Amino acid sequence: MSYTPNWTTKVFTIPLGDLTFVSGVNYTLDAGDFWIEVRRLEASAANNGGLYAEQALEFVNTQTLSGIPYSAIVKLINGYTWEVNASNIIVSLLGKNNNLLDTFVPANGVSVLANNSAGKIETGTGLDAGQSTQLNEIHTRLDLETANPQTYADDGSSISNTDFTLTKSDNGDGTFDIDRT
Amino acid sequence: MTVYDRDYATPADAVTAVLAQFSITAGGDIRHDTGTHTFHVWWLHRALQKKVWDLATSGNDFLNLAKPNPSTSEALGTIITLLDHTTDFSVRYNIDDTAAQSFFGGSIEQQNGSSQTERYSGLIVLGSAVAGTELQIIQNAAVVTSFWGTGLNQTDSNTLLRVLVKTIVAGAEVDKQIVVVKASEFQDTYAVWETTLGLGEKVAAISTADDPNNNTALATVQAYTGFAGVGATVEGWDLHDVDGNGADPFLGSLSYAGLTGNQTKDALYEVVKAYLTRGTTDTLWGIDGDLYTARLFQLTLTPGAGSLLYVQNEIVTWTGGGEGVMLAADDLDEDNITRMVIHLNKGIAPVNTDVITGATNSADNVVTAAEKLATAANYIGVYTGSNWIAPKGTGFLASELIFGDSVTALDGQTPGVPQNVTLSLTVNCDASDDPYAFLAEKDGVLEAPDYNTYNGTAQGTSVSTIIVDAAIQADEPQTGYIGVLHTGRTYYTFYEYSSWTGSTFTLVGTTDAIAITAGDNMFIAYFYEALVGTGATQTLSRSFVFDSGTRDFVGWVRHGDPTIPDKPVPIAFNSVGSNSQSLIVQLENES
Repeated sequence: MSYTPNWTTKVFTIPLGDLTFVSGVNYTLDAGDFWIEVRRLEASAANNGGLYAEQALEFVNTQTLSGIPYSAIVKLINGYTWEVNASNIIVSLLGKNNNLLDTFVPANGVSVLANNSAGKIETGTGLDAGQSTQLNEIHTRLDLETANPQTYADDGSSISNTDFTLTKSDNGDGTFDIDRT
Repeated sequence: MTVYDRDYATPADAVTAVLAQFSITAGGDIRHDTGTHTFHVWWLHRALQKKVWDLATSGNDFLNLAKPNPSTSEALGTIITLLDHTTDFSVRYNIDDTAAQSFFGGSIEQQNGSSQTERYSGLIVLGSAVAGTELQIIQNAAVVTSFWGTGLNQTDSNTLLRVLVKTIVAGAEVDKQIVVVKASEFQDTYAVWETTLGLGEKVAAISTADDPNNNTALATVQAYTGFAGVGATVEGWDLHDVDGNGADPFLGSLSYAGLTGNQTKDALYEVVKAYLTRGTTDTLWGIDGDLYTARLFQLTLTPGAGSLLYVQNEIVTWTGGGEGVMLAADDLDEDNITRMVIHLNKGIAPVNTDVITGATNSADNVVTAAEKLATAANYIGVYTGSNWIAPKGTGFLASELIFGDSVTALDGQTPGVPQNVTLSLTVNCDASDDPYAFLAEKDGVLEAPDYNTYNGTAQGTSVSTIIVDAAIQADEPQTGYIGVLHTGRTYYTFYEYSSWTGSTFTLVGTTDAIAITAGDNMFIAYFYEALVGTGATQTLSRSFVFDSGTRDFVGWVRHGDPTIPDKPVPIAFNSVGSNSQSLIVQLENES
């Protein structure tokens, strides 16, 4: 993320690269990503950090009511606004309920589509942490991770990737074991 | 035991008692025989005159009318001289040290077998002391062996002690007949008095009382961790910047830092007293506490030639006749030294043109002046229970001084201890967190920081000072951060400063490669940094000197970790006056 804050005018400028391209002129912005990045900037004492500046964002976490987890809320406050450093695109807001449509600075033909819902609930992935790890490992093992392809030994003795290495050891009886490290 | 004072009502009884307690040989030796009565010296004279008036000797007193005059009396019976008739009568009237212990109220002078003068001088100690106090008499850098216990010959309620002290031996004065009377009972206040004895009886004044700030048992204090190390902190010539306006010279750097588990002024006070209490063997500057007489002098010396070195705590002597211990010097090299502080052991302090010489290396310098420092029998001075009122020269570690402490440097300066106010912040958080805090003075109207307390003056780029267009307020912190809204930037840039004076902040580093334009908004951030420490409890603090009135401060603690951010927490110190304040903040995960 590389938002550019203007702590004087209270505007966060989001570069096009920090939006997720969908197709054509359609992009998405996850409100959760927005929350995390603004929080980081608020707490930064680095040059152009906002540690001294008034709080920009309010976050209300997921609430469980009658057993149903309702969506968290991301809310720009204290007069802060945001804009996109691009023109003639459509930005669809995703994720948590938010007031980003209300605080957007319209310019250059950028349109923002809200996705708030009074009944929005946190569905999540349906997986717990262990299941999620297992799924990721299957994904990697099947060599579907294009950014990190597996490396295969010419003699078939090993397969390695960024997460683990599989090594073949001959048992001498026509079978072999695979050791995972 | 009866005390026969000068005005004892029945003279005949007093004379009889003297003669019963002493034997007198035909040669004139007056010796203690039996009995514990004590007598004014007048009664010795009267008893002797009685015997040489009698026709016959009696008992063990071998005097009668045939013997020459034994004594004379002057000054209303307070100056007794025992006469030497060795040449004509082979009689030399004399007492010995044991016999002298039975007399008081004046002097007894006599000749020894070599026709040399000997003198027992009268000493009366007036005043008041806590019951049970055992006074000490220091003579010629040694303790006179006590035979008076907790007091002797207390002929009235204001008299603590009346005794004779031998001040001339074999024709020579013992330390110029100077004695020092001390009272140094632990848990009481200490007292010391120097007097020069001579003919008759001379006065010393002693006053002690229960010390309300010294209630710990001596053995407990002596068992403090670090007890033995405190003594070293009084030694040497140390510079202390007490008021933030430059360093001044002091004797040593008394500190309680080494008293692990008892790092308080109370403990330090008691430890120093313990060093000096009667009967212990602890030393300050190598001086046994019993022999510490609080006679400190600051000498002005003329730097000499050569490069011989004085040695800390060494014995020094001077041509005027005296001996001391070197407590401190502004330079140990005789070639550079200009000031020295000594403890007077013997004699009188050096005077102009005396040459003082160190015993170790024979470093020497000419003395041009000697200043007597204020006498403090306990060295450390008055302790109120929270503040020191220290005599001139006594030095403390500056960081352990607090507002209200009174110290006087050896150069005569009396730097005031600033009334520091400290704002302390404690943040409880996850052990892996690295939270940041911001704090500034509150705006006069808004519930927000005042972002414009100063305006800049035009300055170049990458400069090491920032000059504002007004005098910096006296109660700005001595260190902190100055935020600058450079013309051309949309955010404040913060520069840490290490000091300030007048209108100028001195930075730890330099400004960015962007100029400061006259009128640029500026303000002081008390906190603009990461919390100090790691783990679940992290802290920050900032101190400033109280000026007047009260101020409000606002700020916040933030932790914007992209993985697990915490909820921002506002903080405020309200109505901060002369008292320090502290805050505890609990961070909570936001997700």
